[in-house]
Amino acid sequence: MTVRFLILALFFCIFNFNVANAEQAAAEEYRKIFSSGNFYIEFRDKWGTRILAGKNGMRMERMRYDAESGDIAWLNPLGAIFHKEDKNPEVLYRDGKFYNFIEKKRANVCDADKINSEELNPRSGWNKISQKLALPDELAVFYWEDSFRLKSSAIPAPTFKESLKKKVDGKDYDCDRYSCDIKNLAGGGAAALVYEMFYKDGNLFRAESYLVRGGKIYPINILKIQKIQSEIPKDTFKIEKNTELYAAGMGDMNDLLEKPVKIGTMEAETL
Amino acid sequence: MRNFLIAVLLIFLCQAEAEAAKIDIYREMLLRNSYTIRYENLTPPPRETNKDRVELYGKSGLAVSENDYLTYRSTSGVVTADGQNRYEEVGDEDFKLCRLSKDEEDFFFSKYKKKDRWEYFGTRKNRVVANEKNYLAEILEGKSYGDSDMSHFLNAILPNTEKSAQNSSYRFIAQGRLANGLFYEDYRSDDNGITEAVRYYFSGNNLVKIAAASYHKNSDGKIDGRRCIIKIQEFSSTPDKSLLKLPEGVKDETKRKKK
Repeated sequence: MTVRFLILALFFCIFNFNVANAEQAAAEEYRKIFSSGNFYIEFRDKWGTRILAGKNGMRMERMRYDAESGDIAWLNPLGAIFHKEDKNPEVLYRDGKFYNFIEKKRANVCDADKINSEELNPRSGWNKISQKLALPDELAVFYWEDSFRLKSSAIPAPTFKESLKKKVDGKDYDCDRYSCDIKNLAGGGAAALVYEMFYKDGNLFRAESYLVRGGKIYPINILKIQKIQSEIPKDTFKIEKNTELYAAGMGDMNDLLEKPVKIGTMEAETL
Repeated sequence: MRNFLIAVLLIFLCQAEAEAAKIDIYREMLLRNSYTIRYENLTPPPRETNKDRVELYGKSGLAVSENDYLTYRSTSGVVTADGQNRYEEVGDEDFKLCRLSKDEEDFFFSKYKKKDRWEYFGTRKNRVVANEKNYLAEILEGKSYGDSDMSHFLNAILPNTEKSAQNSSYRFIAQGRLANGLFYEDYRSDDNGITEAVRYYFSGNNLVKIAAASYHKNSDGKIDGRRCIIKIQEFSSTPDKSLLKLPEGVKDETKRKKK
């Protein structure tokens, strides 16, 4: 009897352990969506609501200015109406070129093979454009290999640790925890980087990251996830008609005189 | 045979003593977070170019190389620490970028000389707001010690356990005495495609100068390099506590959440 009870208890222990530690089913779906390169996400960070999308090797990012966009629309309803028509991305990678939209209908363009050139004007921010197009770290937990991400050799891909219940604003939610050790030069761990994914009705709605060092927790970032989907809304990667395109300044005379060279104007296009 | 063994032992002991280098005292001060450093960077930091490394998780220090006024200027710096509370400033005699780190918050401000008096600007004149400390950047890049050069050369002397894997590892190469009486210790790094030699100069046991040369191949395959000379005016283990608070007349306007 005792032996049978122990076996039963052991079975329940193992069973419950597995249940408590199983990753949310949606995590695999997110992994598939991001690794396919075709995705559309909307998330809110401390700066506002952002749209990031990828499709067939293209990538775009912009702030969401439309009426549903929380604070920005609330603070500036006229701006929200004005920007509703402004569908150009803020940054775009398409056809081997990076586009940096500096005004509503004006973009600087740099060939991808020149994006690391020392000749580029350092004030133009070309060295950070890839980062803007990359999955934010909290979502890159599902696809650390994202080609637009600039990676630190000290931070390996986080791995799934456990699933637990955790409170957000007083309510309990399913939470998947991932972490990695930031490596020091001696091969040891300098600190732990932890990512927590919160799920509501099986869908990710919040992602948090924090640092654990010397037993203390240091918050890094919180993303409020509004959409993750593989369907890309129409015209997400479209450049608006009549958008003026200028060559990226490469330190030549035009650059010094701050007279960028116009390389074209966008005609109507369908994507 | 016995004499030979004694000679080998003596050489070994001398070497061991030699490798207990003069720089160790300074390494200890940095690790204990108790110091005051005043220095002059005689070789101005180069203008930041597009090829410069992107700080993936923000900067751990002051944005000296992004400041147009400080570009191509000799600068001086002050860094003092008392435990986790730190103050650092970099600039010339008329303008300085400053950061006070206190109680896990960062206050960034600048100060300008006007009629022989300093005027302070944070969010506006004589007003500052606390920023969250960027611990991730600090872990990845190392602590900031004023400008990027000084931060680089002081992080170089720290043990590898104190540096993230994205940094360079330095090894002891040689030491000796120069004709002018100064003692030197040489360290070298060959990481991330960059070869760098750093010489620390001592007058007695006092660190008085740091000189370095580095080279790498640029994107065209040509050799590019840089030299740097820093004069150390003070490097003591006593924190300058007068700097570890907001300057007189500067008000903290941070709206903090009630705990």
